[in-house]
Amino acid sequence: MEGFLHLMSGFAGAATPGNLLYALIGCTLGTLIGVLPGLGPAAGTAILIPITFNLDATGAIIMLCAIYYGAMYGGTITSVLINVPGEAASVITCIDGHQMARQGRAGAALAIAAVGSFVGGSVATIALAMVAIPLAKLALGFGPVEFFALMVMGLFLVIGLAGKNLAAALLMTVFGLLLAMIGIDPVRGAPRFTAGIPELFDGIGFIPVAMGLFGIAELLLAAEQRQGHIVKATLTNLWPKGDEVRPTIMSIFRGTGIGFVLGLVPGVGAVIPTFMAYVLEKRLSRHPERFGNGAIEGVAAPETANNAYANASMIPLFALGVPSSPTIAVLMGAFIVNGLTPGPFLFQERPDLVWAVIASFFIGNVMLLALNLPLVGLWARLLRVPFSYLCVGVLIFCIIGAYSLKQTVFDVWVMLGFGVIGYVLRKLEFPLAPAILAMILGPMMEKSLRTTLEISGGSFLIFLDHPVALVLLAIPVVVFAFLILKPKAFSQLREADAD
Amino acid sequence: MRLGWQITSVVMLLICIATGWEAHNLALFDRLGPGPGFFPFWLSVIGAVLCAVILAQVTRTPPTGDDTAIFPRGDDARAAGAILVLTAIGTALLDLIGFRLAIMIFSAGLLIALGDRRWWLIIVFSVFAGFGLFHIFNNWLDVLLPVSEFGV
Repeated sequence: MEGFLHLMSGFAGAATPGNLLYALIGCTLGTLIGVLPGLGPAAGTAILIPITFNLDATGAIIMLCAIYYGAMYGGTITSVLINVPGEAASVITCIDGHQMARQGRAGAALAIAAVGSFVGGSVATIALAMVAIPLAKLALGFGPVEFFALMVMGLFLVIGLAGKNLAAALLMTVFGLLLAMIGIDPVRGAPRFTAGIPELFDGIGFIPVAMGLFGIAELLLAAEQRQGHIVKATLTNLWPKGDEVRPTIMSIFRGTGIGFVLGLVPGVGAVIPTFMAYVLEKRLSRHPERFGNGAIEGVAAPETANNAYANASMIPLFALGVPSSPTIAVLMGAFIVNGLTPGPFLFQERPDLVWAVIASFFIGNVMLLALNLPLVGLWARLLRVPFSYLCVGVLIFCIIGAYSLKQTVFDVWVMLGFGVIGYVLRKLEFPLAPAILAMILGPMMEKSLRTTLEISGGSFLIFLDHPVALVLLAIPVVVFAFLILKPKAFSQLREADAD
Repeated sequence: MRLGWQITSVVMLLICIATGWEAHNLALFDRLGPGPGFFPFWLSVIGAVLCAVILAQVTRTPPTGDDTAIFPRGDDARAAGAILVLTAIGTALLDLIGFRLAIMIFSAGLLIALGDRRWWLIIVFSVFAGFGLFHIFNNWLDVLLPVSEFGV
């Protein structure tokens, strides 16, 4: 009930003309990012951070969150119309969505995806409002011991589910943590790994690194894989046939459940919920042979799971301050750029901001529904923008974004350097998600571990005296034991996510 | 792919050794507890062990016949190369000639390098990218962008 009352007050904050405009701009830009193949939500959100610099913190976060869930929906359009997913989570939608488009039912596929996304996103937001306060209250009782264990758990779950090679995922985590060590030591104030370069005294900026690893690297990869052919889609009939309504409603409900539950688990990624929702629908269907040939449930379930996941994955960020995916890590970076630290204290320090942002998820979902159904033809037309112009435009935004953080060209070089590193690592199939999450969690992990060891006089046995920390540390141990002892149980899901 | 993993492991191993060495020279412990070198030192040790494990795994795996080159060749390589080189040139020019001219040159150069030959469109796009975006970000969004000594 408390969450509901706060949510109502959040609507008052979110429904100001300025914030409504920011949400609308965010949804539009997000859909655009999702529509354009080769530019995922993490890259898109990082690239567009500079346009929020002049906004107040609430407006900036509302806009960036809207970009995120807008991008999650936008990817569907290209999946259905040209069989090219705009972002990874829409891969599974290609199977039946594109078949529906070929049968002249693109309108119905896109409409059901929009409705499913709306339902999934809205239900997950209600749950976020209900769960966030109890979880944040629990986290308020955490000391440095529990916080360190919490961050270790979040990071190790990401590692466990991040890629095909566990050692490579762990190495990427170490790489991200070492990057986070550059600069002034947060506890004693000593400079570390700066090589005497004054720009490194503040550390390597998270946003230029994220832009490089995701934005520049994705552009370089896209330069090799130009667009496919656009199917001339019929967008007249937007609704499912009579006998499809009931199974579609049921698949939307099941997709919501799967997306929400998996959104709470760090490291799952947006692909796995969509994959699981699709597989479940196929298993439960009386006519599984329709899947792959244009089954509407094959679009409804994964698209619903996709948006339910997107909103539910905000819960660990808001309540615990732990990002569960690279895009959420970029959003956490945006919080920090705006002088805010996500986590339980934010509910005490800036409840106006937190609840306005949560309420804006609802408003954004309504906007997405209104934007996407009537304007789907317009979005499809954007796919005709030549790659060269898209590439130059994105690069300019990257340059502006990297430069404007500290008004230094050094950060643009950092972005470019990490673009090359990201391109090579992605070519070699090293997972990048653990690196980016480790980089943003690194300073907090180090600070909490060192404080813990100062309290205990250097003894690691202090963790045994804290049952919550022990439980949190046991979770990744159990997952890793499963990964090592039963590698086949996870390999299918991990490969789906890595691909 | 196999060679790529071996090179990456060796490079990462060297980075871990260098950071481990520097971290060791910082205090690992002081009178208050763990020092500034403590966390990075142990991270470097873990990283070095992981590099050695990956290197051993990859080297022990026999090379397969379908081990194809991972980097592009021909037009695709030229496109990726042009993106990198022209972005580097644009970045180098930012402080020298200011955002407007640097981005105008960068946009026109990259569009041509990526195969566009519609000159009027290239000119309009490049002028907007340089001068239009500068105006939008500098004047409307209050995002300061570099200006040369000549005020451009």
